[in-house]
Amino acid sequence: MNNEFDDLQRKWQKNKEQIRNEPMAMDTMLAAVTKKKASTIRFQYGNIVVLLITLVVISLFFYYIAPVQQILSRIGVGLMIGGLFLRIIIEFISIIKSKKVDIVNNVLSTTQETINYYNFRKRIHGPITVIIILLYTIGFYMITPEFSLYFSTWQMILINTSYIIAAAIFIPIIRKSVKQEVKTLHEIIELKEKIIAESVS
Amino acid sequence: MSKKNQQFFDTIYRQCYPMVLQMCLGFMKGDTDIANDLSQEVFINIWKAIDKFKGKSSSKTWVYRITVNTCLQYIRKEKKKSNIPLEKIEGILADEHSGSKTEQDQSLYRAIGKLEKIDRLIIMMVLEGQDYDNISNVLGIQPTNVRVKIHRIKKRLKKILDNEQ
Repeated sequence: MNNEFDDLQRKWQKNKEQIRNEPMAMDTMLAAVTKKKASTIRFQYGNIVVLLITLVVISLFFYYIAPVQQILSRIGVGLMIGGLFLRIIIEFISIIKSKKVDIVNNVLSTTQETINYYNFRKRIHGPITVIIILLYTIGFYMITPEFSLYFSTWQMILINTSYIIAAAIFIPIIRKSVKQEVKTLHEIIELKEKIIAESVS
Repeated sequence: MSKKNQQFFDTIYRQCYPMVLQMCLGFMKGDTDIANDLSQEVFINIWKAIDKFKGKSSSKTWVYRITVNTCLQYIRKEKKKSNIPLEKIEGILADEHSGSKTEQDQSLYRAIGKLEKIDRLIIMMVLEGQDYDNISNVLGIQPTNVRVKIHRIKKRLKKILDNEQ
């Protein structure tokens, strides 16, 4: 077995030399890495930026365009904005937690940190996301009685229908992403078990 | 990034790029496009972590840790994020590499690719000539356990290669 493995090792080293002898490819790759660094950072904060813009637009809408008068509606606006605000805070915490997954550590520690991160995500996705969606929906329907005073019936039907359609589109997307993250969590737990299990057997 | 760190990054890149790309190729079963993308990810992580390098372990062991962790994190990350379009330049790069690879090279990567993910990375560190202490440092398990693991992986790899012939 050792001779065969030595052959593999020689082949491996030969392949590596081939890569080393392509300085042009190395330079091109370095240029691509430099370019990609910026887009990685943009991606991480992209979600927060989108949520913040939504928050600002909704706040401006209710302040300047449709300043509701009734207490019930005002509580509704508060719930909608509060739900979004809570979501933004959670996104920030999520980024902070993801940064705690230190890729410089050994594999076992990094795997454990990743498990902790995904456990946190699982907690968010479970009750917290449901609460946020409920807050937003309750808030929305608390505003509709006052809106019905200013809008015609067909306009109200349009507003309500669009909300239901939006929910029908977004809820399955959220569910899919939750399922994916739970699956990922199980994969990492399995990976950790593999690292430990074989090493103690 | 300070000038000193930039120089350190450049040195690491020049020294470790062939090793990183080859480990990514083995991890991704010889798929040049994905391996190029993954090795970029490794160097982005090295760039992000460069301030954390304290010299407690050799720079090579440090790069191995980042490479192994990035490979293990890569697949789940790719599932989550939208595809960042690859630069046109990478296509040319991929063609250059695929053009230079023989069927024999690809079969080595494919054979390694048939192992479990973590086993692929361990055996590639062995092929790289890393000793048990270094591998245990990267994995976070005891060197004696690394020895047992490597013995088992070698047996599995031999079986795969025998079946391919």
